[in-house]
Amino acid sequence: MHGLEIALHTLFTTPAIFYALFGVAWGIVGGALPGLSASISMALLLPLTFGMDPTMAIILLASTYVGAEYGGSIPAILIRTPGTSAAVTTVLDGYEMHRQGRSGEALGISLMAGVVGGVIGMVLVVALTEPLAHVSLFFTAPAYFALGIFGLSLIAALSDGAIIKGFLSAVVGLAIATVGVDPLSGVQRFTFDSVDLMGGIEPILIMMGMFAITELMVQASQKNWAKASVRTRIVLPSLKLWRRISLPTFIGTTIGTLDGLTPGGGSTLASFLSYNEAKRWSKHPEEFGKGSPEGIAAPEAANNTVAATALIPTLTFGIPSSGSTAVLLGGLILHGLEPGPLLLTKNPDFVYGLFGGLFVANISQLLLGIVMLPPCIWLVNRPKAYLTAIIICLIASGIYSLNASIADMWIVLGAGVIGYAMRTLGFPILPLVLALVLGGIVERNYRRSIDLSYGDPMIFLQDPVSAGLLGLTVFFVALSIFLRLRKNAREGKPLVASAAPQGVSEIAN
Amino acid sequence: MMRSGKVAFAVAALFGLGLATAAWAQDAKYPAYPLKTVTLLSSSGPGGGGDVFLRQLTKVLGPRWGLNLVVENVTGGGGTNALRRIVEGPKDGSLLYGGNTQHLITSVLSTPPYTYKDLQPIANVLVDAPVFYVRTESPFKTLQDVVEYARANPGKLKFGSATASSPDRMAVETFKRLNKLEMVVATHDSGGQLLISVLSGAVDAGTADIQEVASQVEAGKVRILAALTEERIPGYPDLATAKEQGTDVVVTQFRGIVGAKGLPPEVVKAWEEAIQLVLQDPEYKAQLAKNGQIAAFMDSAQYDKATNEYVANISAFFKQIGLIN
Repeated sequence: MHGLEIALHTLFTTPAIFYALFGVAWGIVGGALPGLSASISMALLLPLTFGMDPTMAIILLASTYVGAEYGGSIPAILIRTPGTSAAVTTVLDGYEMHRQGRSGEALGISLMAGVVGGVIGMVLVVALTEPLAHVSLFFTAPAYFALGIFGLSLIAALSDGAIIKGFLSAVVGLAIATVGVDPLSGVQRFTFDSVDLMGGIEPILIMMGMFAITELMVQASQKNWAKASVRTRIVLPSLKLWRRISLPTFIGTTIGTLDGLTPGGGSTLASFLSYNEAKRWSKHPEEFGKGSPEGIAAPEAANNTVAATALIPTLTFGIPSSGSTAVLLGGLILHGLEPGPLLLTKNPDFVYGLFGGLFVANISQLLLGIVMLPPCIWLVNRPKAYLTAIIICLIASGIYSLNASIADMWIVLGAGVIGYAMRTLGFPILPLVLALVLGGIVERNYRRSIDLSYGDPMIFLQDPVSAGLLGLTVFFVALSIFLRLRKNAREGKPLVASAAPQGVSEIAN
Repeated sequence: MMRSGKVAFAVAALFGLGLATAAWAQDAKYPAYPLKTVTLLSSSGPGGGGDVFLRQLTKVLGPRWGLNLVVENVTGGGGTNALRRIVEGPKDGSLLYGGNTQHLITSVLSTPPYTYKDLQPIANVLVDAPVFYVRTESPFKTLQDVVEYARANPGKLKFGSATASSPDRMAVETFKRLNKLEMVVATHDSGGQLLISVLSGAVDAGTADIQEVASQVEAGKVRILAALTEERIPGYPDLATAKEQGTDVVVTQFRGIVGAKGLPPEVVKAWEEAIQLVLQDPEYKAQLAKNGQIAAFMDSAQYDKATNEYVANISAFFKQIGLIN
């Protein structure tokens, strides 16, 4: 209980609690502003921490990360714009609930799921840092490849029934993922000698275009603009609702834990996976995409858990698993702390102080969320003409702040136009986003694995993690085909005959 | 694939320096400078290698010199955004660039609007100290062990490097070419990912700057085989260089101060003197030793020559592996 003593001592004798609160508040604002990601919100604070005590500085930065992961869900729910890329799946059911006038309820679920995910994540970090650090070592190139394939198997589930259109979307996403410098050889692909395209096209740009810009175009073309609810109160989940969302929260936390440990997985993948698993195990899968509370709880629990468990590879290996932990790592180094296996032995005051501060940060989200959200709901209920203009400004300035690049703005606007066309023609957007996020992971890890094995594809079966994930993929795909066949057989329809006309009619639409 | 954000930090950095200035007295030995405030641009985001270099340098140099040195992060476009600011900005010594080799590589690989040819190297400060390393469980104790194993088992050795178009990879490819080995060079997305690969045994050896693996060495998880420097790394007297072990691989990752062409000569001269002085400063020396970085002063002419040599080397390497024509 030595660690607990240090943590309590830090909390009560230093301004740690103040920094944790400020970090979370700043993070919620940063995460909620489209484009201003968790990592940029943290980077903005980093120079301010130079004169501070290292423990306070890192508590401030890590609390910002916690707040931003929650903040990203606010615009996802209220204006159909994922504030951070990990909030992309929250858009689906969150915005739907907002349209039904249940904004307060949606934000409450996202808040509670985030707090629960974050606190469980921190408990794991404190109790199991040592064994969990070893999990990172199991994830090598073949395992990442298999993880990507497992992720891609969600395309069908995310296609809303329009499977052929879903696959077409995914192919476009995979194509966009190839733009930029080829990660293995260094050759430039589809960059047209433009420096702006060398780094590739970031998924968040496509997400903002295809969700936010598209939505604004749709809204502008509607004669009778929908009047949303005027109630601005946050509704925390009732006991009855808790019973319903506890399973998806648990699923999100589990997937988020693993994801935080695997540098290179990305918390966006975690939110996709947990959304899909929540749907698979739900008693009401038909409600997903139509305003299901479970569809918010799972990804929001996942991304807040990632913010906790991502600390493990950062602190024990000095390896950041995301842009946000990269800034945190930079902060550690600038403050003269040496991340690595001996950090805990050499700087127990720092490590336990940080843990204490983060517990406060995770719990204080609840309070700050309740205080900060009603004004947000009030804001989005202003007349749509003003709101639309302001959202465009917010998105444009957010995108510019990412890389100070005008080219990025054109990408977002272009994605918005394409997204509008896709939406009008009934093409699902999520498979495209998923494929864009996973395309790079799948490609580079496939090629790296094949390089390492001298062209022998058996490496994917020899690696236990890879074999397990690929087996799981095959199992789930086979299971859903089997269930479909059985359902069709019961209804007396042959599979092919029922699927083909449906697909044809979708394209004809 | 991830590009970190560009953010302006002028106000914040001024605030930070204001505190630092109060704590340290100015040193009269430092040369006169025509301006009171100098902005130094870093093309890496906060916490990145180039950013840490400038912040640690200005923390000591600013107060001693009595100048207000402000670090501003201008990321994106592989250094191009920062270059644009420098070349299009004032040429009176108020806006300079904390140069590394990133913009040189971008200049060679693509056709950005401004290249290193629009810049004038002013003074180099230090070089990083890259090494080859293995995990502790590995049977390799010296670089020669690796060479012998690879010769005896053609195609068995897996050597990891960081990104595909990095000086790191050039080091590994040079090692392979000089020893005429048949082995896999596995590129990774980052040095961190490579460390995981080495620790888990997915690759047999890797390359990194010494400070990136120092904590792992201390914890007994990683063993360093060779330093890829001209001379042994200060603070690591027992660590033989690759050259001593029979393979002449040297990687030079400069870090210095660069400006736009057409700076007043007195500005260049003042920086040359100031950098020499700060490299003698005990506080800065201690910082370098902690980072495992090597003081490597070069004046403007030497730095210019070294830059051109570096560009020639890396161009030849990129041609050899087929990245450019």
